[in-house]
Amino acid sequence: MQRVVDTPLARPQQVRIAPERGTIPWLLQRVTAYGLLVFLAVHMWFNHYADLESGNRLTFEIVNRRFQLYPVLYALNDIGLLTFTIFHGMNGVRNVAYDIFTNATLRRTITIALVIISLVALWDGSLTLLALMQMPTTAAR
Amino acid sequence: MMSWLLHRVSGLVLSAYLLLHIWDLRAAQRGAASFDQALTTFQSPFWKVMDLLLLLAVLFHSLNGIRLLLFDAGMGLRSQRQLFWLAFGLTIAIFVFSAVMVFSNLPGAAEAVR
Repeated sequence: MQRVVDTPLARPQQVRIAPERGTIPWLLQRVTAYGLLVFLAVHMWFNHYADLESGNRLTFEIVNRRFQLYPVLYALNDIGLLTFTIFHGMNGVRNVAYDIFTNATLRRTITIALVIISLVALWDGSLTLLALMQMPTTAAR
Repeated sequence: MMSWLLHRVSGLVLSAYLLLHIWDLRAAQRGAASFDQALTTFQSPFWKVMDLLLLLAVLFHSLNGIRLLLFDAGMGLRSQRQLFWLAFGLTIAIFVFSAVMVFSNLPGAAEAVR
């Protein structure tokens, strides 16, 4: 029969657990995934499928007119979609890169490159959204 | 393993597409005519096929993603394999349905069937 020996080593030790650095990106990846299910569904329906006297062809005028129907809703949805997809996509690429590469310097370089790409894409995508929302339709001219 | 690999591969494809999509929509910044011309390019059969492949990646990544979100919430952990095949099956079913819809609506498809 085994005897439990109460030695200092056998006593439970107090261990301070620092929060993992990857926790926030992990959580944000989940939060953006939930958001994308909504934003993407709204975007695909209104920008690509819903037929507003348009026939089959999508044109600048139709996209612009749709934006003017519910400007706040579309603007919030597409800004949310842009932000969430860029974060979810680039953080996903970072996760894959971390699976492949173990070198700390290389990992940091990849992260910095992805942050720069994300900021450029966010800036450029926002300009496109503004252009689609602001330009008057041909019919309104 | 297969789920993990397919999720990563489809994620990489979608990330590349995201940057391409933001890039091609820049045409809107140059005006309506430029935007319409860019959209016309994507009406060709080649881009329809590309659209379908994109849909395949979107479907699998999102359905398998929902499966992963369920696991995070502590649901379905004992049915991981079954849920993978459910996500995979739904992906294929919706993809085939969409492919039939797209190709039957291509210009000239109606005449070809007759």
